[in-house]
Amino acid sequence: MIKENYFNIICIILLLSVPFLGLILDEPYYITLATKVVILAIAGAGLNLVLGYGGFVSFGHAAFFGIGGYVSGILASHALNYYPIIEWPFIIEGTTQMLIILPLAMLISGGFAFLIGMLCLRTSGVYFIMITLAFAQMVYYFAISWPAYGGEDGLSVYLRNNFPGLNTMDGFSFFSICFVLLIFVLFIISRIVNSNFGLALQSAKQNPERVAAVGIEPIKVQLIAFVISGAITGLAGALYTDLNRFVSPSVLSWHTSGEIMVFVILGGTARLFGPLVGAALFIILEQFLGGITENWQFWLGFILIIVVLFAKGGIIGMIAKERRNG
Amino acid sequence: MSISLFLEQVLNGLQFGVMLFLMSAGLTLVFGVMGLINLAHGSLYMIGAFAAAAIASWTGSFWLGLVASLMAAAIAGVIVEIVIIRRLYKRDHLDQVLATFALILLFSEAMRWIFGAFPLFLDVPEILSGTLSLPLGIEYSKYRMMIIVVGILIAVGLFSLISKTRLGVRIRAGESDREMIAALGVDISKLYTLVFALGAALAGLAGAMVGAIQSVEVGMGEPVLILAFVVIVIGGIGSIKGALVGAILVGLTDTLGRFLLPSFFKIFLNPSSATDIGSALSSMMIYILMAAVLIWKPSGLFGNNAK
Amino acid sequence: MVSPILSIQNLSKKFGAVIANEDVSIDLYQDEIHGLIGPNGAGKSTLIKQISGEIKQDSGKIVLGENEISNQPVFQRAKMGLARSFQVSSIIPSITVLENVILAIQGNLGQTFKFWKPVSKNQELINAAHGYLDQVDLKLRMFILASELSHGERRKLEISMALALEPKVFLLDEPMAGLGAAGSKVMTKQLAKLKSRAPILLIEHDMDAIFALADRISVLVYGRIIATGTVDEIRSNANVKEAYLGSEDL
Repeated sequence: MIKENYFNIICIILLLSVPFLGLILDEPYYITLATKVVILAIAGAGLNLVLGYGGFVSFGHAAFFGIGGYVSGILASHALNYYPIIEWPFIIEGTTQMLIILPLAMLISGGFAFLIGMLCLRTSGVYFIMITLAFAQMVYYFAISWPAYGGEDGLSVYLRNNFPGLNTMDGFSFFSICFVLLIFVLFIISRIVNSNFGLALQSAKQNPERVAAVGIEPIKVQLIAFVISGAITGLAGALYTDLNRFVSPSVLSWHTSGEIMVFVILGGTARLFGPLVGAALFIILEQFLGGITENWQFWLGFILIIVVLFAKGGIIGMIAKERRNG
Repeated sequence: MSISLFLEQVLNGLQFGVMLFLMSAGLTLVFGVMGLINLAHGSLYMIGAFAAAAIASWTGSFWLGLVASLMAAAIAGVIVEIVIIRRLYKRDHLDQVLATFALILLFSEAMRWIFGAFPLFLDVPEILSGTLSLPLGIEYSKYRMMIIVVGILIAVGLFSLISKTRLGVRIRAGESDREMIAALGVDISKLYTLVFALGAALAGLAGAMVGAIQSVEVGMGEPVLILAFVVIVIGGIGSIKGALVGAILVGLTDTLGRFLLPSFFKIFLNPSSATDIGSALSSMMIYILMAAVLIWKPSGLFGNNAK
Repeated sequence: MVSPILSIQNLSKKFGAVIANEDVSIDLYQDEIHGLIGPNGAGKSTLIKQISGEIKQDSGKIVLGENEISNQPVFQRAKMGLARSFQVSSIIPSITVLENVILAIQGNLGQTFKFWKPVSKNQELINAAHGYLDQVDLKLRMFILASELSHGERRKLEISMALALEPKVFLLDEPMAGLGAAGSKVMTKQLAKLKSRAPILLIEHDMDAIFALADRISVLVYGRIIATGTVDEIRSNANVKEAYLGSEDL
């Protein structure tokens, strides 16, 4: 395990060096890219909890990413046009305060994860994959056809939300917020995974009958993991709206679900830093290939297939051989 | 709302359902026999549409276009099965999802490379343009009627293929017991390639037929792919009968939902919010249908083994 | 009269037209090993799955101690004191032997929903697990992955996990299966010790073992109990002889 820990520290150093490089070279784009990696890594970390550690393949995490994104966008847009979100039975005003928006985004996407998980966890295997996809599509089409918040065109937010003591419009400050949140999320996940709950979650992945036979309800364990996972991915969605100052139904599309899944698998499932490595590699490929050819997605697809066919266990699986969970 | 308008919508729903069946049949066979989730099935649909549009505009014959769509999709299916897909049969669903997701990127970009970013168009042939007069004063597009007829013929053909021919026996045996069929001396990898090609050809045909109603463009396969998944999950993965029932159900629910829901909400809401809610809800209808079916029957209407 | 710890009353189960169990009643008392034997296809697995809760009975009821458990889900029955071992060893392969036992302990103590403290720092749980592993002589192997255990060791691990549930009743489904002569001998000793902790309902193919161990035996044939009695009574029972005639030597 020591080897993997060293690798993780190197990842952190590399990640941190990018925005500093951006500052030194006066290339704000580097900082934006690093921020994007961090946010997508948070989304992937959320998915990794259920897909990697829990072993149930959610193809619908775009729903939580997008719900988090819309919570942020809706609250901010109301704050900016001074029009309350609801007036009855009591007035709820919009806000641009991140310290309110982010927990609320987690709460609401977690709540949706609870509802969706309760229904989906009745099924398993390929049915679970498909029904989570269906729920995400439901949310997607709702966002497209609901005109109040921009419908298909999406919702622009002119300013980033506020964080006490920081100027969030400054790229480096915003990166710092996201980075701290990523470290915080990874720390929480590492505690969860090594706790009694984590033991039960990973056991239920392998042998749910056995888990039930020792008096633990597997579905309850999985549902709680699903809710935590949805909340974390929702947090990432809210940050993503802030990064782009824009949210549209495309964050809810099934491509987003697929991409979040790609981050996790590319980096290595059930690896704490897998989603970060995967997201970073994905963005690097996108930038690098996109610089060479217009058809970069072709080569991305090509590389992904090679990874699936020949590099089982993802990047971290190739580098750090030891592995606890099969 | 007149009765003939309603019946016309029913026919539209049926046409949509039949087209979904062509897509779903291959998907469900491939899952039933080989245990593979193939996200790239929509790409084969797209390839069929592009092949049809290209050949039809080159030769001037819509019918040659249709033949080309079958051939192109089948050939693409065979190639991709031999090169990549067959390595995935024994992998878990996660690997299959990821690899076939990557295939979508690959195919979409390849199409963009070859045909450019602009949509192509496929014209309905002279003989099928115009409408058909049906009883009750219904005027219905000849071309859409043809899709319904072709779809029904293929459904009948597929059922007799599976229930009456030797190939069908092997397919059914492959679904229940892979080792047994290998022991019987059937070349299993050839059988798999054949099943995959068959599914691909049907998807390609569906793409070509729809291509004359909509435009032919990169990415056209993806919405249909997801609908096809909804269909086979509702019907029960692996069941051709389930795919047919699911496809018709989804086709009718979607079409009639879009037609009826806005007018339904107009009964007790003001027109503009009725349209908003009606259209929002109707675009979610089939997913609500799928969720309801799975909550009621977790392995679909005709499914028995949830893998 | 002493009341039974586990009482199976008139349990029936059909699959379509096939009768798996019909009117099966078994009482299990404190300090006894109750053997359940029967030819293949007699409905033993269906019965044990109904007791553990994996299959729901069509009629009849199951009472554990004071509580009827017939309608409880599997995990609830386990929590209430029903420890089960599986015919094919059922363990969690990707975690260590120690963690397998800890899983059982946390299930019994209701400590699953603790999210913060690492299992590896929970000395209380670890010490308890050491105790249960010691009882089956598996302590030396506790840090290896459960997937690396030999067949016999897996059986022991299952017993250890059953012990960790501190159950009212052990429900053991062919614990000797595939063990070989030496392994069976060790397991026989193990089970004799287990009896002092809680009564055992023992399903077993190994006739020698069951006649050596069981205090009472029930014989299941075609889904029905055709005889219940002490070892000697069963040995001399004409119906039982007939049911086993030619296939097994009693």
